[in-house]
Amino acid sequence: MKKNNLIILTVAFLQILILILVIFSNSYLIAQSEKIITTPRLEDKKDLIKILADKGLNFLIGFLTIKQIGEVSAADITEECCLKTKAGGICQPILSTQEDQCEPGQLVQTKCEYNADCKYGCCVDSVEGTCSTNSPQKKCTSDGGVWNSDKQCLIADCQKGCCVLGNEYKFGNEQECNYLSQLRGVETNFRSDITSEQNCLALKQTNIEGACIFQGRCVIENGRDCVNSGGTFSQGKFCSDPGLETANNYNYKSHDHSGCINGKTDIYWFDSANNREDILKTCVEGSEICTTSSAGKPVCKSTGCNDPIKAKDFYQRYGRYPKNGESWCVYDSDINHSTVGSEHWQAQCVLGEINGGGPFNLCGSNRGEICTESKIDYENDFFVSGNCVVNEASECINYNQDTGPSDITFPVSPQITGFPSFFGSNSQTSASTTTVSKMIEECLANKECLLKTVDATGYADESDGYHDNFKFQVCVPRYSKGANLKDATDDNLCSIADKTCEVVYKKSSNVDNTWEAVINKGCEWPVFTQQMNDFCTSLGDCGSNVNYIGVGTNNAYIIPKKGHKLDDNGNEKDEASDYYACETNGNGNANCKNTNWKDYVKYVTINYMQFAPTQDFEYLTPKIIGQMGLTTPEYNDKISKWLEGISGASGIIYMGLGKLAPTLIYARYSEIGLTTLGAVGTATIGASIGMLVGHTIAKIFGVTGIASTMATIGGGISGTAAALHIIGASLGTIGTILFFGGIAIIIISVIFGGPDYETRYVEFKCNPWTAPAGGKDCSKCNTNPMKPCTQYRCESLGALCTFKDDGSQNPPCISLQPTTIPPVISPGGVDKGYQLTTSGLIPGVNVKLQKQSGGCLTPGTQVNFNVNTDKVAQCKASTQRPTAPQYDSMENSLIDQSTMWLMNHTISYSVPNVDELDPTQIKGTIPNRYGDVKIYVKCQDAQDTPVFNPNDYVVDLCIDEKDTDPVDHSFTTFNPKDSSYIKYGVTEAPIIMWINEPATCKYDTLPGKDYNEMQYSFNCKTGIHDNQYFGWPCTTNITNLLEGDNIIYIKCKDQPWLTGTNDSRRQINTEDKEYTLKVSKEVLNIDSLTFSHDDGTGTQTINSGGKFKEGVEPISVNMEVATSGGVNVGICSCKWGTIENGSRWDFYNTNARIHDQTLTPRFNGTYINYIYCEDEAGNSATVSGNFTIEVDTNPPNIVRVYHDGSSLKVVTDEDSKCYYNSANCEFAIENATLMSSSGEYSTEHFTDWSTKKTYYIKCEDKFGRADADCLVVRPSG
Amino acid sequence: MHRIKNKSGQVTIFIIIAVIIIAIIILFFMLRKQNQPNTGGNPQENPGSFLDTCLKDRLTEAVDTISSQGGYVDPKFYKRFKFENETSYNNLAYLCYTQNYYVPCINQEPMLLSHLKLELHDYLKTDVENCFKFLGQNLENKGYVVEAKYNNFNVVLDERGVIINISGEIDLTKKNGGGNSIETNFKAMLPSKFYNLAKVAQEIVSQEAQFCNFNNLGYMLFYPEWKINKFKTGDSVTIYTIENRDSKEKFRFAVRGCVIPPGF
Repeated sequence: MKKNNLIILTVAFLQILILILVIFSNSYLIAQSEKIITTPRLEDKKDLIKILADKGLNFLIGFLTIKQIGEVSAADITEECCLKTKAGGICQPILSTQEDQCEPGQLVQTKCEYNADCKYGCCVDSVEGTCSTNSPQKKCTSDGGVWNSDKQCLIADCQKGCCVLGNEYKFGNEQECNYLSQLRGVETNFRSDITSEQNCLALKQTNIEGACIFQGRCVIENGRDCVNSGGTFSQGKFCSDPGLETANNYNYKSHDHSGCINGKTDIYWFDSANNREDILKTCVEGSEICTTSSAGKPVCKSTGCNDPIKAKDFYQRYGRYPKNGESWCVYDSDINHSTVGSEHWQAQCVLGEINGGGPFNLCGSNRGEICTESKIDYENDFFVSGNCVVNEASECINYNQDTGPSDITFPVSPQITGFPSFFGSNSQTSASTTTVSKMIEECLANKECLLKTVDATGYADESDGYHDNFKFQVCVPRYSKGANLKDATDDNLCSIADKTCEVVYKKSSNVDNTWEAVINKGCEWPVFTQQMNDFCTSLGDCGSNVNYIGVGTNNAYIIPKKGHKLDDNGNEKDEASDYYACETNGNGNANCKNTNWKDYVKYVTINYMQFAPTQDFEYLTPKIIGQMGLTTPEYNDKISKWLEGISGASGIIYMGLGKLAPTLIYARYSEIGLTTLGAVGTATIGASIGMLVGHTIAKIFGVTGIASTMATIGGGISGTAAALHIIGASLGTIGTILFFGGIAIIIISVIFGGPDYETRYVEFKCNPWTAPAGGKDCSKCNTNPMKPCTQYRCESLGALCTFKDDGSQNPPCISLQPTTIPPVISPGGVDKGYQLTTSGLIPGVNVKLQKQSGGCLTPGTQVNFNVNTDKVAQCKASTQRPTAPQYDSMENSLIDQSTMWLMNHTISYSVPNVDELDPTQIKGTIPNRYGDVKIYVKCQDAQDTPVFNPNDYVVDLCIDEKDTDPVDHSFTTFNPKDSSYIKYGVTEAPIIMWINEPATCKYDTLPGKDYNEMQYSFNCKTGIHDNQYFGWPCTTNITNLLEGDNIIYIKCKDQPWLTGTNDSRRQINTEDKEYTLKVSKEVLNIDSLTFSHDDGTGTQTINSGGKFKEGVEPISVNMEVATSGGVNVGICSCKWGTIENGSRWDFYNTNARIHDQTLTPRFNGTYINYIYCEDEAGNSATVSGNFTIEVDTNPPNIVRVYHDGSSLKVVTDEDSKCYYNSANCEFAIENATLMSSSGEYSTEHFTDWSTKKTYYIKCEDKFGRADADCLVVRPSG
Repeated sequence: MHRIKNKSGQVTIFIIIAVIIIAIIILFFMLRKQNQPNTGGNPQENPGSFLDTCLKDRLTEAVDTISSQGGYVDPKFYKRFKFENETSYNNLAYLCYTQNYYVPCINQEPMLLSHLKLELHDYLKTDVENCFKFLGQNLENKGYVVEAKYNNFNVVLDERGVIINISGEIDLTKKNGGGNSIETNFKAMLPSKFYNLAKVAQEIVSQEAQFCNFNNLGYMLFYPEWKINKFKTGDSVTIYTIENRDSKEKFRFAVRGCVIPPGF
């Protein structure tokens, strides 16, 4: 009995155990079969992290010139001052890396601005009066100049006015006028009230001239000079006037000869004493000028430039030839699609000559400057002005950096979530709307930028719930800058357009295993390639494009890749997809096409009607918010509700099984119960086995979703029926029906099974443009004398073209001589911690790559190293041995710039696990296996018929099977950086962390916790090829941030591929990695905005709304802003602008609490300035303020005179000094008696009251203005 | 009759006077020619003219050299350059330069006019002293006992040209016991637009150092007497050539500032 009981108890226990296990197994199977989401994915957060990461990455890459191997820290580079360079320049700012350019002993380790010898300022020649801007202090003073710290020379001594020198008018400062007057022996007549050069020179036109008789001779002169020199003036008369001749006893022959007069248009008669008489011939004003012909005769010559060749652009554009003074732009190609090597030029027409007979003016080479043109209409005519201005291409790209998300780093991965109806939901987020619209606004406001849209959407079948999402907008330069064609550093710029489109495929038939693209299928069509290459080429000299003569190369490619199977949540699983993108797989959809430079030949043709318009600085305010089809809040809400429903259904299943278990446990003590339990248990076991079989069959046939569930359930039904039949608890016919019914369900599910999804990637690679091989076109650079050759133009014509800058006006562009010697390959630099050694090897044939310690490479790491060639070459590198010696037979997978003509070639090698290697690459014995890998390198030179190394250059390396080191956090990089500041009031922040090998990571807010006990997890990319520039990315969103320091403690567990198989070999950090975010404790404030001006007697400071009263204009105004609060007691960066929604420029001195900026000289009027300040944490503050300049051009008026006690009191209408003289009104102030007053300048003036005197009073204001007349006061009684 | 006789006498007297006048004129020109030194004018009557002539070639050479090389006789910091129509290279001094990108150039000769005077002074030092010596020697040849004392000279630039003011003293005594005279402060002048050219150059440099640009077109419209050519080389150096349209004199120099590097 006891034995029976034991048996029964054991059976009962086993059955109970099985039942309990069944709960979990069934749950698992059901979960695998259904698309159940138990953890909602917050789309916006993830995207934000991705965006943040990509943004940070791209721009860090952009600015740190990542292609350099080795470590160069930007922080280590400082600006120093070289008092004298070896070349001979004085006071040159240089970088600490350029110290060798400085003469020994001439280097000062501070900025030149802070060095007493080199401080830049204004140098005034106190004799000649000239003012020189941006002049070093010592050089100025040692040469006898007077130095002033205002380097723009906006000082009183340099204020310009009009100097009257007899018949001539010169625009200059007062000392210059004094000096010139002294040289000419005339009295100084400096008109400080005329502050415009144009107005000064125009005075000449108002000269009243006439015959001036002096000492029996006659000259034509203006009346004032004549009288001053003691002559007798006869206005409007010529010297040959008979009356004058008779009266003054001279005889000049009238109309003796003809000629031109400097500054006048017409041909004049002259008398025999060479005095001007009347006009012989009137030249057409504005289009002709008097000039002396080669025969020596005066003629009217056209000032326009009727040159059909040189002025072709102008004529085509405006229908007439340019007039004197007009300038215009000349281009090399379609300016909206810059070809490589094309430049912008400026042409000028002056006095009938275009550019003085020389070539056009080159705007900054490599399109560093562009030519902008404007047409100014006046009366019934127009005037054209073309000018070279700085190309703002970089600014356009920076708009994306400032404003983020829709930028160049757009996360192209379609965020697949849940059921197909939600596939392809746009990954843009509402959180980014503001910043995106800011980018769009800035981009559209700048005429030199272009808002480019790449859109491969519109192909998905939306009725089935699929939505394409490969669409983004980015701000790109309208006129891209040219690259340095023999330097790879611009690779970083081009890589902005490296994008991967994730195409989602659905299995359309389980029978013949065919797939069709359902989301982003456009990425496999030419529209994707074309638009991406347009984007790529718009960044600069990138992608597949042509040079300025229409010969091109392909430098942008699409790279089809496999993706991943999708799990029920729509997330990618570790399991790779079955096919590459662009494989048709029988459905015929994919139509992948690579780029072709020939599509761009059309842009070589110049469209004469095109020109870059001059920026008008009146920025538009675009209303394009929401244009980008961003995710709406309603959408997120819909997801959440749906998820709640699914979770509820899942909960019911668990509850049902959970309730069953106690019932069974209670029943085991009952015989009846045991009998019943035996049948139920057997049925349950049968059901479990059947479900497992059903699920396995579904999986084998690739069936997922509802069909998989149905197959699982069918299996369960069949299994139950079969189990009951086995134990004799037959259900009869019903059992048979159930058994075969279950099998039928499985078969139907497999045949008509639900969809199976996977991703495939279409990667677009935008490489720097490379010149065509050879050098047959080099000489074409020198054929146009109006457009001399430049290095940029030359190097665009061929890889062998070399610019011989011999210092001539049109330096030759020549081709290097052909050779039969292939490039010689040698080892170059390598990442820190590794070495390239040829020890024991044959130099030039192979090299060994190993750790600095000599060990094998660690799986899951990445190593960058260089191989050098002795001449410019293209190189390929691969771990696959080439099948033939030819260069073209070689595959390239390890060199990003394989199309570039370089001498240093960077190989990036991601070290795989030994298990991933080909069997032939695995050496050693279990358990001491290791990888034995060779990287094959082949290079070809740049000749028309290139020469390559037939024998591969081989890099040997070995790979450890085991990784015994945990994640090395000394390489860990964060974005935002560790100890970064966060804006006031922010409570959560997305972060991204890059680690040096694939791992899973966790964190906690408490230190010292075990990895498994840590509360929060990072979402880490763990694929071997998932590494980015800084390593493998892990993202999370830190919540509950408090003001002040927020520290998290991080641990990682490496080798994720060992999960579940060899978990014990995974290494965990023993020490926490600390990461801190500092939340601002207060907002940023702008405390004050003031304006100041030094009027020569002192500095006036006013607040916003104040007024400067000055006697001259323009004046220099300094603007100062004081800030407080924020993250660092007010230290922040401030920008300013003059248009409310216009551009903002950095203050000259900023990144402090006080920020100042000298404004360009301002004239009479009111000026408003808009200030924007932002601190390190992103706290910002704005303010605007205005000031008024009122120019006082009137002398002071005496408004009242009276007897005040014992004094004579004079009251003036402005602050002034008053003087008196007792003799007459014709007195010089400096020789008169100064009346007393309360200050130096005052409105009240006193002197003794004396009835014996007559007071002739004159008053002078502080601008030196005094009335020529005086007030006469005769005190009486 | 009496009246007729008188008239004949009068005619004779007129003829005699006319002959005398003609003789005097001929004598004047003969004597003038004899006194003319081979290196200058009449030293006694016009030492300035003598010095003008004596210094003319060297002064012209100095001005031409300095003008064509950015204000230096021997530039140390220059851009070697040759225009299409030139046969040889010139070393064009950088009057404004920065080796960095994006920033305005730094004025290398803020006191350009003073510097030009110094260059001219150094170039002509020996020549001026020699000419002064020649002046004394020439006077000795002309029958004077000459006591010459040379001190120094300075260069003045003004709108009329280049003026050499020599500080020295010549004590002249006639060998035949005639009178004694003392000449001081001698002056020679080369008519030139050099001063104005230099001032335009200085204006260009100042604007380049301040605004990264000089609007040569606008300047030429305001001042048509100047032709200003701006040539930007492939390595972003700007070569300025200022030319006076009347005299055809040129001043040429190099500037490097606000250079935009290739690429991003």
